[in-house]
Amino acid sequence: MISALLALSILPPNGLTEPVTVALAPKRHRDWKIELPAESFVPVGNSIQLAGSGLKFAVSMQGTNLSIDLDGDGISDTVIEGDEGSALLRNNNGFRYAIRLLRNENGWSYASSSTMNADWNGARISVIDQDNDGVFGEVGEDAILIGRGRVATWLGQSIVINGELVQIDVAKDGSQLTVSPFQGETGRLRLADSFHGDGKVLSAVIRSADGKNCFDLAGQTGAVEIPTGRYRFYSGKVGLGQMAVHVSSGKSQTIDVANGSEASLSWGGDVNAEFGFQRQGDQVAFSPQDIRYFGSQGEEYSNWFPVGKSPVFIIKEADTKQEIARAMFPGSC
Amino acid sequence: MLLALATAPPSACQEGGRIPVRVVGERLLISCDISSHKMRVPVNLFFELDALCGLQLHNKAAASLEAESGDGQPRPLTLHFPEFQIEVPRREHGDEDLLDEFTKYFSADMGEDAVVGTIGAQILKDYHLTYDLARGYLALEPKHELAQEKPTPIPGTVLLSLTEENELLWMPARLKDGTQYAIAIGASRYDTIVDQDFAYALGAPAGNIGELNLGEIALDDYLALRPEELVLTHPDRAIGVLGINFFRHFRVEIDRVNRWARLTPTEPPEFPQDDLAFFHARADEDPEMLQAFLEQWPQARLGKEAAQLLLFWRIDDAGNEEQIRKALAFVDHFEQDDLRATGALDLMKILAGDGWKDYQIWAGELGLISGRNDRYPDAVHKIHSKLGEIHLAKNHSEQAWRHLLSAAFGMPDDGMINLNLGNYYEQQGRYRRAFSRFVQASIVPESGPQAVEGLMRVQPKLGSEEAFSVDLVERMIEGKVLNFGAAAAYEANEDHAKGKVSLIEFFTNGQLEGAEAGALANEGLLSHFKDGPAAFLSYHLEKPGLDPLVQPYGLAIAAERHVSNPYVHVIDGVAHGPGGGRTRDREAIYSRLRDMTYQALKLETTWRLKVEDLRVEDGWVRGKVTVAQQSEGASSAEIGASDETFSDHRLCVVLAERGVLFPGSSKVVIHRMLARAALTPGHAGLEIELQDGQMVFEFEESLAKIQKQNETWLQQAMDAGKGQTVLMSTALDPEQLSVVAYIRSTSTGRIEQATQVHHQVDQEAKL
Repeated sequence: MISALLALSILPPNGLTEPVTVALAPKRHRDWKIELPAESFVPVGNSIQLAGSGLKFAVSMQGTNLSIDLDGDGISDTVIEGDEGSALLRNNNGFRYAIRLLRNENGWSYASSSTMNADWNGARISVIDQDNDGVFGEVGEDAILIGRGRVATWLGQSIVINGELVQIDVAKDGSQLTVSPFQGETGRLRLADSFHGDGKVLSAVIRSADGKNCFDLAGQTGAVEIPTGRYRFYSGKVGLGQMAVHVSSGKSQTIDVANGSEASLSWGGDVNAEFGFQRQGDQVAFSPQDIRYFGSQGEEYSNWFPVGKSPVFIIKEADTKQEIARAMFPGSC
Repeated sequence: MLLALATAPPSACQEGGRIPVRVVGERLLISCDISSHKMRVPVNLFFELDALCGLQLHNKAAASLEAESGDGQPRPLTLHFPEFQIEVPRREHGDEDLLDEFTKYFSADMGEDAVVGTIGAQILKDYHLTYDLARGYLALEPKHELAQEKPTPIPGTVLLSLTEENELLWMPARLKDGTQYAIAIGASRYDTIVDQDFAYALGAPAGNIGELNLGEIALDDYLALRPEELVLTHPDRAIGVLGINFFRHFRVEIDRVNRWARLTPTEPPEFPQDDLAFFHARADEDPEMLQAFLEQWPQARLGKEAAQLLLFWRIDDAGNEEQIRKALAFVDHFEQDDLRATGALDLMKILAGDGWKDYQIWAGELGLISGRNDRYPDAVHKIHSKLGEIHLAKNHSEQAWRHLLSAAFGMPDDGMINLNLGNYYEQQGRYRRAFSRFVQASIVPESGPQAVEGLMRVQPKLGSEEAFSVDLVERMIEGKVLNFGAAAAYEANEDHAKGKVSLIEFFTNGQLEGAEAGALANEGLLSHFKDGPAAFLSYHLEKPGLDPLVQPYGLAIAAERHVSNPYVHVIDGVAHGPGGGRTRDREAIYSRLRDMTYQALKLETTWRLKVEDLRVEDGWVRGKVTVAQQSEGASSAEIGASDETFSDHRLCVVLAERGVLFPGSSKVVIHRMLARAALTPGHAGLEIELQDGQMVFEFEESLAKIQKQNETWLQQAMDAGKGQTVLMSTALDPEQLSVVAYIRSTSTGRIEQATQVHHQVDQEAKL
C-alpha cells in the first residue's frame, strides 16, 4: 500500500512512463483565427503543390478570379472571386487539405486552413502545417497549439503539457503523434505568472539559443520544467477583452537554465517608450511608426489592437518644466 | 490598460437621461445623432459596458464627419440623446467588417440608419448606469457622490458590492462550494460567458458548472453559461461576463462611485434547456448530437448557429446526400424569413469555394423558394445566375437556360450572367445571340476577358464578311462604355514650331482604379490631335497588379522617364502631367495635358523624321525611318547635307498597336497606342550618324517573336510571384499596328522630334 502510494506520488502529472501514440484528426478552420509564429502564404503560381502528399492541383486565372482544380483530375472545380476565399483540396483516397486564399497586388497565395488535433490527458493538441507544404511535424518549421487558445508556437522536439515536459514526434502525414517521457537534463523556469500587468497572458514563448527548444508557457502556473540551456524571451501576446498587444524579444536578456535549477523571468510593466520626433520651426511632429515600447525585461510591445489608443506626448519647457503643448495620434492610427 | 500607458479621458459627464434601447441581432443597440464641426447625422451604436473603448467608429462614418483633420488631429464629436448629450474628444477605430455585416443582416430592424460603432466603458464609466431592458431603456445619470453609508436595502432587490478592475465592473460570484470568483458586467453579447478553460478543468465543457450565485440569485436558474475564451483578469479570478440574457431578467442599477449594484427581478426564471443542449452538442463535436438538438428544438434561439455548424461538420466529414440535405434544410429553416435568399447566396459562395456543385444547387433551390420575400431583391437573381452557371458546367442545358434567363431579367447588365448566357447560346449554336451577350459581358471587368475570348470564337461563325477585330468590338460597345472626344480638333498655331511633333506618353495599368479618367483624357488628346502634330504611345506598369499588357519594354521606358506610378502622362519625355483621377475630372485632365502639349510644341527643332514603306508581310513588320536635320536658317524643306554624329541623341523606333482589348478592373476596355516593343536593337535607341545629311534605319521584326517575348516575360513575372494575370491580347494584330519614331537627347532627356504612321491594310487584298 505504502509502496503503491509512493509510486503514485512520483508519477509525472500526465502519468506518462512510456511512449504513447495518439491519432490526430483533421479539423478545418473556415474562420481562421489561430496566430502563428511565422505565418506565410505561398504564391499560387500555375499550381498548388503539396510536397508531403506529392499531389498537385492546377490553377488558372479568370480575370482576377482564381480557378482551382480541387481534386487533382485536371478539371477546374471552383472559381474564387473577390480578395479572399477558402477551399478544400482532396482526392478519392480520403486526402483532405483545407486552404485559405488571399489576393493582393502580387496575386493569389494560399496557406493551410486546418489543424491536426488530438485530445490527450485532457489537453487539446493541435499541429499546424505552418509552412504549407503538406508535411506535418517539421521541427522549427511547423507550429503547435496546446489547449483551446489561439496563439500557436513553433513545433519543437519537446513540449510542456499539463505542466510536464514531454517529447513528441509527429508523423509526416499528420495522422498520429507519439508522446514520450523526456530524456535529458532539466531545470525549472517561471514565466507566465511573473508577468506584471493587467492583461491576461495569451502566449509567452521562450526559445533556446540553439533553436531546438521552444515553449509557450502561457497558462502554466508556477515554475515549469524545461530542458537545460540558454533561453531568451522570444514572443508573446497579452490581451484584455478586445485589446491585445504582441510581444517580441526586443532588448531582452538571455537566461540560463541549469540542471536542477529554478529561474524566473520577470516581464511586463513598467513600460518605457522610445520615440523619434521631427522639429520644424515651432512645430514638432511625431509618427506612430517611430515609437517603440519596452517592458522591464527589455521585451518589446507592438501591434496594439485596437488602433486609436495613443500615448500622450507632453512637451515642456526645458528650464522651467512648464508644459507647452500636448499631442496625440488620431483615432485611425 | 494592458500596461498602464497614459490615455486622455474620452468624455466628461455633466448631464444625464434615458436612452431607448433595443436588442437587435442579440446586441444592445441605441440610436442617437452624432455631430462634428461638419455635420450631424443619425446613427445606431452598440452599447457595451465591457468594451474597453470610448467611442469606436467605422472609418467611413468618421470620414463623413471629418472626425480627424487633414493632418490626422482628432476632432471632438458630440453624441445627442433625447435628454442630454455626451462630448467625446476623439474617436477610435471600429471593426468595419463586423459593422458592415451586422447592418446587412439587420438593416430592417434598425431602420434607415446603419450601425456605425460602439460606445464603451471609457465613456460609460462616467455615469451612474441603470439597465431596464424590460421597459426598453437605459438610464445614464451623473455619478453619485461618495456616500458615508451603505445603500438602503429594498425588499425584492438584491444588493451586491462591486469591484473595478481594468475599467470593468465585477460582481462577486460563488460556486456551490463557496469559492468566490468574479463575473464582469457586460452585455456586449447575448450569452453569459464562462471561461472555457475553467469549465473544462471542472469537467464541464458545456459550461454546466453547477450553482453560480450572485448574492441570493442563483444564476443557473435563469440561464445556461456559454463556454468561450475569456481574456480578462481579476484578483478573485475572472470567471465570465454577464450577457444580455441576464439583463433580460433583471433591472440593474450600477453605482460606480460607491461600488454597488442593485438587482431587481423583472422576469421570472425560466431555464433555457435548448441553450444547454446546444452547448453540450457543440462541446462534444458530435454531428449526430447536434442534429438531434436541431430536431428536438425547431425554435431554438441558437438554431441558426447550430445549423451552420452541423452543415460544415457534415461537409468536412464527407457526409452523404441525406445528411447534407438535412443540414441545408435546417440552415434554411433557421434563417430570418426575409433573408432566406440572401443567406442561401452567402452559403452558395462558401460552398463554391470547395467546389461542391451539388450542395450549391440544393442550397440555391432552397433560397429560391422564399426569394420573393427577401429584403434584398437582387439576391434571387444572383442565385439564378449561380445556378445557371453550375448547370451549364454540368451540361444541364435546359435548366441552365431557365435560370440564366430569370437572372438576366432581374440584372440585365450583369457581366457574369451575360457571359454564361453567351456560353449557353454558343453551345446551342445560336451564335448571333451568343455574340450579343458576349458584347454585353465584355465591358464588365469580372467577365470581360472571358467574354472577349467568346467573341473571338463566335464571330467567325456568324457568316459576316467582317473578321473579329478591335474595331468591330469598339463599334459594338459604343454607347455602353464611357468615351471622350475633344470639342475641337487641333488648328495650326503660329506659336507652334513648324514641323514639330510632340510625343505624348501615357503610363497606366489595366487594374488601376482611376485609370479610366486618364484613359478618357488620353482619348480626348487623340481626337484633338488626330491630324495634328502629336504622336502617342502608352505603357502598362506593374502597379497595382500585373495585367497582360505589362511588357518589359514599357517598364524600361518608365525607368528612363523616371515614372514609378501608373497615372502619369509624359510630354516629350520630360514634362509630367496627370494620368488618372476621378472620372468626372477627365475634362480637366485633358485640358491640362493639351496645354502642356501646346507648350512643348513651341520649342523649335531642326530634326526631321519620316517613317516610310511600312508593311506587314507573312507575320513580319518592315519599313524604314529617315532622319535628317534642317540647316539652321533654312526652310523646313531644306535639309543639310553633311556627315555628322550626334552622340548625345538617339533614334528610337517603337512598334505599337492602335487598340488592344483588355477589359480589366480599371473599366478601360480598349487600350490605345500600346507600345509593344522597340524596333531598334534596344530600348535606348541608336546613336544618330548622318551621312550626306541623313540617316536611314531599316527595320524588320517578327510579330510572333514579339508576342513570345512578352508572354515569356509575363510568365516569368508570375512565376516570380510578382502577381497573376490571364494571358490574353498578347498577339499583335497587323490591322492595328502603328510605328512611332522619335529623337531623344540623352543629356536632357527631352524628345526633340517625333512621328507616327499607322499601318494601312489593303482592304481589297484582305477580301
